[in-house]
Amino acid sequence: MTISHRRVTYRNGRGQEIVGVLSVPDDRRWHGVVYLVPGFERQLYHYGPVSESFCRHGFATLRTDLTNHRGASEGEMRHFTLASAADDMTSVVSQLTAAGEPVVVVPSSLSARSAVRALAEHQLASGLVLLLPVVDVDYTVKRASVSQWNLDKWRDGTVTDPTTLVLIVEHEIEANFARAAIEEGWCGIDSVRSEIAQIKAPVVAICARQDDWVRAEDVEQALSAPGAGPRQVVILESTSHQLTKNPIAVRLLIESLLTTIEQIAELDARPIVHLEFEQVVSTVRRERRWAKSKYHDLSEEESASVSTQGSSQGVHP
Amino acid sequence: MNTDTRVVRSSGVDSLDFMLFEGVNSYRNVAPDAQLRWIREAAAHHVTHSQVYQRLAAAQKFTADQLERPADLLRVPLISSGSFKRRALAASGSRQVKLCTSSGTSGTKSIVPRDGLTLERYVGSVLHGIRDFLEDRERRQALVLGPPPHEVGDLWFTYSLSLAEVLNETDYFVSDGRLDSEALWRTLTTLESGVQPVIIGPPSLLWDFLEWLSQQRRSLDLSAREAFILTAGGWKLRIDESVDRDTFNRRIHDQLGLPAERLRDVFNMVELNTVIFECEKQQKHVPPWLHVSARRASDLEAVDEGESGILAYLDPTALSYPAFILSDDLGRVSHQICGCGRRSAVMSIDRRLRSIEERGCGLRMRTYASQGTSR
Repeated sequence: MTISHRRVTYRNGRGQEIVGVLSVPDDRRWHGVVYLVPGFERQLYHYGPVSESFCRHGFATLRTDLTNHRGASEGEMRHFTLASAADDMTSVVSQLTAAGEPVVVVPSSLSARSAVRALAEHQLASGLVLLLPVVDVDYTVKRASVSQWNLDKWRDGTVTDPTTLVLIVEHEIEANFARAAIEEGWCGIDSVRSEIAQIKAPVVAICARQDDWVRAEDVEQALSAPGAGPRQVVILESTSHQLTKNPIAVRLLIESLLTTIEQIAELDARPIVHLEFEQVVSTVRRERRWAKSKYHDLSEEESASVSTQGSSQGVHP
Repeated sequence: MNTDTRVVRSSGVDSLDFMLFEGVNSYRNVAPDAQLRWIREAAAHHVTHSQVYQRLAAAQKFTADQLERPADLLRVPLISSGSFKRRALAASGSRQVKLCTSSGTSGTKSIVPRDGLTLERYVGSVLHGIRDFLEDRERRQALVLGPPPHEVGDLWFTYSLSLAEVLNETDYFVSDGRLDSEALWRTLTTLESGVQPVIIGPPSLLWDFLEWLSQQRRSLDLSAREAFILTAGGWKLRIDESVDRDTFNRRIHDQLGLPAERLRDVFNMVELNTVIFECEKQQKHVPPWLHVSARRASDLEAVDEGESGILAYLDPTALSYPAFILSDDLGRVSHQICGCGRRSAVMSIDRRLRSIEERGCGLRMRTYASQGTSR
């Protein structure tokens, strides 16, 4: 089995460059693309082992770094908003679908909130699989903010300058994040619930029972409205929001993800083979090396069997 | 797929794995019953899957179900660390992925076979220690005073240092056996704002870096970055150059601007599948799954609290080999509550065993197990 990796770029609605990696196995069994979107403060390389697992099971993946965020895409992290992430996803998915690629969007954590709105408004994806999805933005920001900062400080007027920098998960971003979240209606479970109800494609949420940042019951509530398409909630017991640091939970997650996407793609289930420890280690090392080059160098050092190709605009696997 | 919401509950994470990968504050809420259960399960596994351990257990009339109370853990048959010098003690049925070797500083190299799950749990022990002792931060850069992964081979010490890259952004500063102090200096002075540097390496190379700073008339202030320094592996062949802890602490303070609480020594040896971390009081805390005891050389009974004895480890995280180890180290175990507030046992190492007399019963155990491996 050979996987080809290619650096790809897109432009979002604000003209910023979005950088991604498209990975395509030679024994691809679905003509669509699984689009993995990192959560807040995560980068596309964090999803290397998940992408590798998908490719080994016959699925092409696309991973992009968010703009106004860490990583290879344009923009400074202090300008991050939920709307900027939604704009990125809308832009990428619309370009993929325009090229005839069905897309299943798999956003994580805070990006999941953005993805819900993007897909509710544009109905572009064939499916949406939300990983550890933030549905109550206020609650998650409170739990995740190392500086005890929360959106109420904007609501009650403690902070009035949108350019004030606040610390969220070790990153300084402008208080404009809070202003926009409140004024543009991103807060509250009811808003997510009504948006999910508008999505015509299947929506699956995978959450963690021990998650300190997202309550599983909130996710169930968010998916409880009668929807236009199938809805499912998967709760992984005995794991938390830091799921990627728990290899056993990651295996459970990959099993749930692969099963879900096989169902969305209407494919027969295949036996799931997980990466061995050394394969995970070499994938992580490779991905970190790629990230340092901003994905201009996608050469393989440790596995001669994987071919690589050059950079291109858009996706034409 | 259903049109209604459906809840699917997936389970399958073993409680030991949950402790390793997700456990928090576990040094303050010690659960001896859980430790007993994990070690009992591991003992049953090794009696079933390791021929050598099966033979050892039979000779001592030991079965895992004899482990009913925490005090029973002293009955678990121990394998001398010397046994690993003769042959890798692999469990049958485990899919070995790496033969990990010691440096062989004191003679023959040990060989320890680790499979994927055992290696994964080793990383879990590191993650667990980081969560409890170093703060759980995302923006961290590891600066390893060791070679990059493609140079490490099977040597356990350098291999385990190279696993830092699995957890954090990592740079390596030893190539072809030489420390590049200039590159380390450059990296430390140009790190992105908000990133916490963690320098990891043997004390001898850290000392070399401090010497280099002195020669270059340079110093650093890493306090604002809340840096950590983790030493590991001891001085090995440079033992004659070793300095006491106070001297080391002072020099770290004077040249790197860090208080003693940011300098931590971590302990591991090739036969042990757990990394033991120091707290802010520079005390080595025994993690909740690991049982450590100090034994009398004459009969392998436990010595009194705080007395020096041969250190023995019962580590249930290893599945591909029995990590019930009688080590080559003399040390102490204390159950007094540490000044940091954690309630786990604290261990310290006095020195390596030097003579046949000191090894006493431990030597006989090695001979026995070695005979077992050659049959």
